[in-house]
Amino acid sequence: MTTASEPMADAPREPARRHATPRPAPALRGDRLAAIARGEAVPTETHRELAGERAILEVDGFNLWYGTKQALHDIHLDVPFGKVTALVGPSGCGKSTLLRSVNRLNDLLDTVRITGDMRLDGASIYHPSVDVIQLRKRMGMVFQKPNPFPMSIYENVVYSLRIDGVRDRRVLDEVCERSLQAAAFWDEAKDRLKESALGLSGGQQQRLCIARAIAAEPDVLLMDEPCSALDPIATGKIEDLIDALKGEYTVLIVTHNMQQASRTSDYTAFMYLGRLVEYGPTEAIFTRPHLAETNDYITGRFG
Amino acid sequence: MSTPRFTGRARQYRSGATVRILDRVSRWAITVGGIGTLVSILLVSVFLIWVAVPLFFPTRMSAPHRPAEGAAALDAAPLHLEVDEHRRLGWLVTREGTLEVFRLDSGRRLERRPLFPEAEMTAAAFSRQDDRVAFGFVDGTVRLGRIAFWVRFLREAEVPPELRSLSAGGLGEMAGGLVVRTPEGMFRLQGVDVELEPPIPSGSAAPVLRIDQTVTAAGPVYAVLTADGKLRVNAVEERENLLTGETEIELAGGEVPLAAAGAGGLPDFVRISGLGDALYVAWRDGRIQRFLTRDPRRPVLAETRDLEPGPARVTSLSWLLGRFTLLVGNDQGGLSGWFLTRREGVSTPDGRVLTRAHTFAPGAAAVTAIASSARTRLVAAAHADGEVRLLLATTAAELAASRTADGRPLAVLAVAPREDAVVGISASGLNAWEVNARHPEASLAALFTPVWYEGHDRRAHIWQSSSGADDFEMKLGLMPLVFGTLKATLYSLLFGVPIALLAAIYTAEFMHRRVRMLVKPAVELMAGLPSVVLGFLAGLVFAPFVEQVLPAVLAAFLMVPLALLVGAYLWQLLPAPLTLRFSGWRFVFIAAALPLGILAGAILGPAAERALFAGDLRAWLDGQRGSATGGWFVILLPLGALLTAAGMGARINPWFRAATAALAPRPVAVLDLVRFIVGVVLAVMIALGLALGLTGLGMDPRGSVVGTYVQRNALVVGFVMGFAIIPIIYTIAEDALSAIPEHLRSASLGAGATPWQTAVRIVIPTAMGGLFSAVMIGLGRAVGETMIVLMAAGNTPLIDWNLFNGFRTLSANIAVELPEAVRNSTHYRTLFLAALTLFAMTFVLNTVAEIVRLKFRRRSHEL
Repeated sequence: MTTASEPMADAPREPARRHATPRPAPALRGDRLAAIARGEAVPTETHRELAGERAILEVDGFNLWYGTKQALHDIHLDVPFGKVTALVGPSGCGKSTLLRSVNRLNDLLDTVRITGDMRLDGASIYHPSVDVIQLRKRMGMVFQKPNPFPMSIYENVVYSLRIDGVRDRRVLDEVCERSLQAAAFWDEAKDRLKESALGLSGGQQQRLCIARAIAAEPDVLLMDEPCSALDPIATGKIEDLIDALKGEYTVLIVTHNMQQASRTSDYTAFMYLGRLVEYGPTEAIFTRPHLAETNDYITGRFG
Repeated sequence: MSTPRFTGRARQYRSGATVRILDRVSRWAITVGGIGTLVSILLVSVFLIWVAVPLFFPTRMSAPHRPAEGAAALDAAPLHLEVDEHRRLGWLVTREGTLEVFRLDSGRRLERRPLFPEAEMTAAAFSRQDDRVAFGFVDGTVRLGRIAFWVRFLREAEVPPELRSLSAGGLGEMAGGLVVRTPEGMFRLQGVDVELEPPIPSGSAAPVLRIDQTVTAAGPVYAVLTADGKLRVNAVEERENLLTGETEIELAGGEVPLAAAGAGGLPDFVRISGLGDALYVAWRDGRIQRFLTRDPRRPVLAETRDLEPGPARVTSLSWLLGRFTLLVGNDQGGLSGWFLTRREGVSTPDGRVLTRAHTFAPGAAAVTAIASSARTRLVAAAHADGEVRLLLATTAAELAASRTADGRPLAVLAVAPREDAVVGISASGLNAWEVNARHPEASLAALFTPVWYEGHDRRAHIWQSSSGADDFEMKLGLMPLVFGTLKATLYSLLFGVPIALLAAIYTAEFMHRRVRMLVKPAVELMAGLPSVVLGFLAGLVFAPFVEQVLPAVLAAFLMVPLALLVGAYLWQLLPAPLTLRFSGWRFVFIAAALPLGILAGAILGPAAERALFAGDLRAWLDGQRGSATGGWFVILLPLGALLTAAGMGARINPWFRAATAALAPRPVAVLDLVRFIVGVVLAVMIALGLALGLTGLGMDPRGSVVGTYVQRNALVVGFVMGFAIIPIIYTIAEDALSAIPEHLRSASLGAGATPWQTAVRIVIPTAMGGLFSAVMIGLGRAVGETMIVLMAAGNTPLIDWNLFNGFRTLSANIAVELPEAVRNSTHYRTLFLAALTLFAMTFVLNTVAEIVRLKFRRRSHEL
């Protein structure tokens, strides 16, 4: 997905810089994964560092069923404000389901049933009185596959303002430029704002989708494997972008890629078969996880 | 040779013989089937073209054929000439009153018979259409009669021995006539028969100068100009005396007030119309006077006109078939056709005026003779330079032209009864042309442009392919049928497309998945309803019902959408827990709005009829009562609603949203309802204001989009055919909407858009190509639909936008008329041309739909 305009400087990355030191042995041992597979409840190992963070999103005892099959089991997860939190785990562990539950996109499936709650800034997400549309306006979402709308780049970016009825041209222009700049896409797109977004390359499309999400000024940015459909160069750009968003935006990112999680996130949550197994600072998870299972997973021994 | 590795089995690398044979056979079968399908479709259109194209073949006229033998023996300047339908015999009447019968092939005279040995004939009139003749005499008497060909088949024994050996097609003469051996081997004897009635007085003793006659339903009528300057019209009434058994002739007639016209000299032409109700008197300088002779006892001068305003002088004046159109030839070679038309503001007693409707291309020299065919509007005209032209009166077209062999002008000519020959006599004798007039009445101009048909007031598109009368003018304008097809399509799309598309959007975007799985097949099942069933329901049940409750039906068209909207606003008023609990039943509530709307229509309709249409909608539509305001109001109401909605969307809604953002849902819902009611009132006021304005300007919708109510009409067809096309549009549109990838919807919803915003801003624009092709395929279906329009449209080929009037479509016309059309006749081929037109229309529509669909598919591949 390389275009001539994309600089090559940051393309090859040195993998797993942080893992240079020898790994200390995990503090706890036990066959938790087998217990999870048997359907037993296993407590989440949450690191102490998280207690010091202000949580913007709190997941509190959240269960989710697709029909009769339970996909999420008693999730407790506090997403700290202004930080990047990564959800990792093998396929089918419920990472994406959890992410889509945050902005209630799972509501669209009529077989989904939930218990427990989530809170955004202390306000419930799943209370019956909550206006789902209002709720979603507070969150931006970037999907696994770049999904620009079949309209111009400009209209894509300002979509969230359009649906709110904003017509002031100056406001729209300004938001468009700022969002594209924040998504590191302005220089490439500024001369072709009126062109169809479908003509962009995959990496460009994904940065456009991020710009579109940013334009809505969300409290939380949800990213569902944003780089899985991209080549390494485009991936590098998106990762740089996530780095740049850190501090201003709270980012919750689902990823399959261990290096990506280790490079971009501040905190990492490891999930397995619908349960949150271990949750802590990324540095800790990747260098000295409390659980042997986490260590096995991040070192690639299974999954 | 491979070594077994994972499965322990060696793979055979060569496919088996059966596999290869099957592969080859199936490839052949598929190729043959596919190409066969294409070829058969192609053959259908080739066949249509094959049948239709001869319509446009030009008329051919051979070089003149001159029989050498005995040609000079015929009279050089006879009064009239006739040819029999087999083109074997001819007869002519000379100025002296002698009948000559002759063979056409050799020109040899078979018989010469003075018709009136004891009286001097001074005037004669002939009518080719019915073989009637009238003669006037020097003593002022008149004899009516018939001169006609007769045919009799001979038994072998009756044939003279020397003729028995005639080969097929051979001719022989015997006492009494001409023997023809037919191709079947029969002997046909042909001759000419003369029947003359006893002399009747003309009302004057002076010599008869001009005479003309016609036969009406009541009996013969004749007009006679005598040398003493008196012109009389007489109707002959024959009465049988019951006692003696003799027929008595009674004349009813009067003198035409010629002197009143102040004409110099006696008229040169006297012509009486086919119905005997008009007498035309003309002079060579072009003056013509028309007298009304409906009551022959009191002829009244109707008008005086000038046939030739220029210096040209009239040389020939004769009737076209049917004796309604006068063909006028002048000494400059000009030729024109005149008939009566109705005109506003003319001073004639009958409100009609003789009008020059056809102007033919002029010939190079004076017109010497005109002959009209006894079958169609074909006319032969002879010019002084020897030119002979074949013309078609309906379109004033010149079909073919030729010239006499020696350039001498024809004094008299005749068109053979089967229109396969033209025969004329010049000073040097007989000239004959073979004519191949295949389909003179059909030409691109006659089919697709307005034509001035006999008796009509202006040029018009008319389809009337047959009639009971022999002198009927064929009217082959296809435009009324094309118009009917488009009208049916438009009104049914107007009804069907919004419903089908909205239903598809609702099903794809809002409906519960389980309900959708029931609804979609149910609607598709509707498509399987045979259209003949819909047709007879429309024609026999729905049309009479609508006729009875028309105001309620029209009111329901407005009330059902209103009921849905009111229902939606009331739904918002319900407390949130209640709406959440009943959200599964929303569909049921929506469905309930339909009967409520119909009920409201049934209640409101009669009231609206009283208020807007002076209490009787059908009388109002007829234009008998009431002002235009009520009609404009109803027509403009949707426009008022649209204007209000657009205005509110642009100005009020952003403000409303900002002002109510802080309020709880309940008060917002109340305010929303208030806003809606204000909008409805506003829409009504806009419509009323516009209606009053338009009425003030003197405009009236009656006569254009609405008008006199006919039971089988476009409203009924639009409604029922709408039902026929809804399933097909719905299915394709729903597929197109469902094909929009889910990730686009997720992206839009994830950005905080409502499902409605997602549908309108993302899903519908993306699926636009598919929606368009759904509409186009519905359009194609409506264009080709036959049974519904056949049974419910009244089949009146009119060009009239009136919603309450009928029409005839191309397809229904073919279904109605093709079984009755004579094979390979002009009518038959024109129907095939209509089929070809229909084929072209649907072909273009489907091609456009397919192109758009492919474009749409490419676009959705990019997503």
